[in-house]
Amino acid sequence: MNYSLVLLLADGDWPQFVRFWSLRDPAVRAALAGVLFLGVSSGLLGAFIVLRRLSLLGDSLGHAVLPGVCLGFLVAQAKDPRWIFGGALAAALVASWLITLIGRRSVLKPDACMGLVMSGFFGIGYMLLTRIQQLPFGSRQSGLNQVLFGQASAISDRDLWFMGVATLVIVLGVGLAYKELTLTSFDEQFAATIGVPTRTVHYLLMTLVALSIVISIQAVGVVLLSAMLITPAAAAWLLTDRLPVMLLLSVLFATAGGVLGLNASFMGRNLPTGPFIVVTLSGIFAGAWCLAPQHGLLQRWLRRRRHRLRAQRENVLKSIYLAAEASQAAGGTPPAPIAVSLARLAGYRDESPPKLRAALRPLVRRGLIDVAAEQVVLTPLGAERAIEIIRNFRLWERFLTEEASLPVDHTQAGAEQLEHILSPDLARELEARLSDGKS
Amino acid sequence: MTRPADDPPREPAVHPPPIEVHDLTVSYDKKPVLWNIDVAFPEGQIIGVLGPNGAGKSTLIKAIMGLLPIESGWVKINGRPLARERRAVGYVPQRESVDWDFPVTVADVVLMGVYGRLGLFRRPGRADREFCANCLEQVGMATYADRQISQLSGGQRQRVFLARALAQDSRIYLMDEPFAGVDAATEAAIIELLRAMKRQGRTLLVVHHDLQTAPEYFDSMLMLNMRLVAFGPTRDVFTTQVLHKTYGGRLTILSEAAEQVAGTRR
Repeated sequence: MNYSLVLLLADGDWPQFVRFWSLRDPAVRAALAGVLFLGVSSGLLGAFIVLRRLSLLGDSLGHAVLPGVCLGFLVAQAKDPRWIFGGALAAALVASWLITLIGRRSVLKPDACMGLVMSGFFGIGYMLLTRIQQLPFGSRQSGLNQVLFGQASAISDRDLWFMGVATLVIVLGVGLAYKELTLTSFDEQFAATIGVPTRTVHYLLMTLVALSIVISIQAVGVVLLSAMLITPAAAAWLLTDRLPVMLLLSVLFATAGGVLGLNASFMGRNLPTGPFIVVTLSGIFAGAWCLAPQHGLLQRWLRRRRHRLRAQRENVLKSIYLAAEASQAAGGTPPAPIAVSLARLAGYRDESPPKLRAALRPLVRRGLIDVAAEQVVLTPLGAERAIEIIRNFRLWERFLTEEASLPVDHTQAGAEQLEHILSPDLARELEARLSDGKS
Repeated sequence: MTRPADDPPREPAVHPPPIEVHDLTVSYDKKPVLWNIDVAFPEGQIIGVLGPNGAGKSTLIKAIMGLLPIESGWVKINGRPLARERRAVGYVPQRESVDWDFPVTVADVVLMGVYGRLGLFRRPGRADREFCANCLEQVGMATYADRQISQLSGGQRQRVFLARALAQDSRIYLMDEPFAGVDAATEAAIIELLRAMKRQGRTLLVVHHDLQTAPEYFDSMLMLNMRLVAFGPTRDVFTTQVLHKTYGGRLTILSEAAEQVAGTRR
């Protein structure tokens, strides 16, 4: 919604916006229904395509349908969906067969085979397309030049019928073979050993993918239609580690991207729909990438920052303890309460007094230290934590020198890093091992 | 009335071996990697498959499981072709053979073990889930059931694969390097599990690469180096002489021959 509003403000075209969302216009209704079918079918299949590392194959087949579309048009001499869809489906199947054949009968690896077939088919298709536009019946049919970048508002009722049936087939196919698709995607060899017909499952999936590619030509166009398969599924995978949730999110993203992209293109009056849909989908992906709960950019940045700040605090705490220890003449454990003057601490840390005060502030906030009358005093909590950190540091340093037999000058950095993350369990284990070694 | 002849007799006169391999030759990419293997494995033992890198250990297991095309010879399970005895054989692939980022939980993976019994398009039910939870318990991973598999350590991943194998509930198991790259605790747990399976009368064929532990783990051993070097009880086979024959220099002749065979087929 926000995205549409931004475009709305840019254009200031309120009536178009109302016309779109009131659903009064039959062309808008048909386009919306088409995009919804598309979202469901490519969202579902895309998840399996991405999980099986077949994204490039999806892209190749997408481009390879173009000559089929053109030949279908030439045969029917009109934009008849039966011939267009049939031609596209045939081209996709021939292309996937060719990719396998070249791979089997040469040293070439799959990526080269796919690149070859994709560009070859697309080139032929584009030549046919330009030729058709010079033909007398070609120029009347303005519909065909939209197959490159898509025009959802050109979806006719007859197209919609095909799309609906194809979507139904895809949903039923995935629903019925869900167990087999999941198993073969995860562990194809194991699947084969328990008698799952892995090759049949693969071809079933590829046929369904070809179907979904064919029905997305109208709305997205051959150049960008692989994005319908890959982008929503990729975004979904970043957000979840459960396959059913991934399928659901993938469908959700694909339909949302489709509807919002359609709206945006509609506001721009008859601009091709494909790029708008793909840009919206890419925006969804970018959002997922940044905000993903576990590995998202934002989470990672926050986690690092939290760790860095904690390490800084703990280093200050440690230096207070060590400075207090150093100011003891005997050098033994400082008496409670552990205290050191600000001036001495600044000298110990080699830091200007204002900088030191700034570094101390978060510790005061957390109740680890008190600062009064130019004296820094560790609270009982602060003293406990400081002793723990120093013990961790020394344990790890000893472990590195004694067990891993590193020279002392190698241990400093490693121990400085680890003292902040050593868990109590690991620290205990370390302690036990080091005392074992002594006896 | 007697039954028609196409139904084989249920109980043959002699109990057939769980796995019988006859004159098996297997090629990878036109290059032969296993030559004329002849062996019949006895029932109810833990059998090690040993040999140097590239000796064809995994290839043998995969060929028995029907994962690789066989060039000549045949394999029989309980005296019948594999296709009719699939449920009798469980398979534990190498851990690296799958993508552990795949969005499934530990419980999901174990549940895949019962898929073979379910048949096409049928969904697992509550009884299957309970059975799998029990299998997970046996490998000490019950508390991890809802974890995503990418969060597991190497040893834990191996245990999950073994739990899936237990869920297959087969009489015969083929395991590809189950001890590779696991921690000491997991290794001990796995061998304990294998011994428990043996006590239930199951036959286990285990690809292994660690000669240190081999004599302790296996009742019988198959020494492999592109051809069968020796097969028999551990005390007969695990000798300096056989080890030298398996790991020593002789293999160069066979691998050179293999190259030439491949050359004629290009």
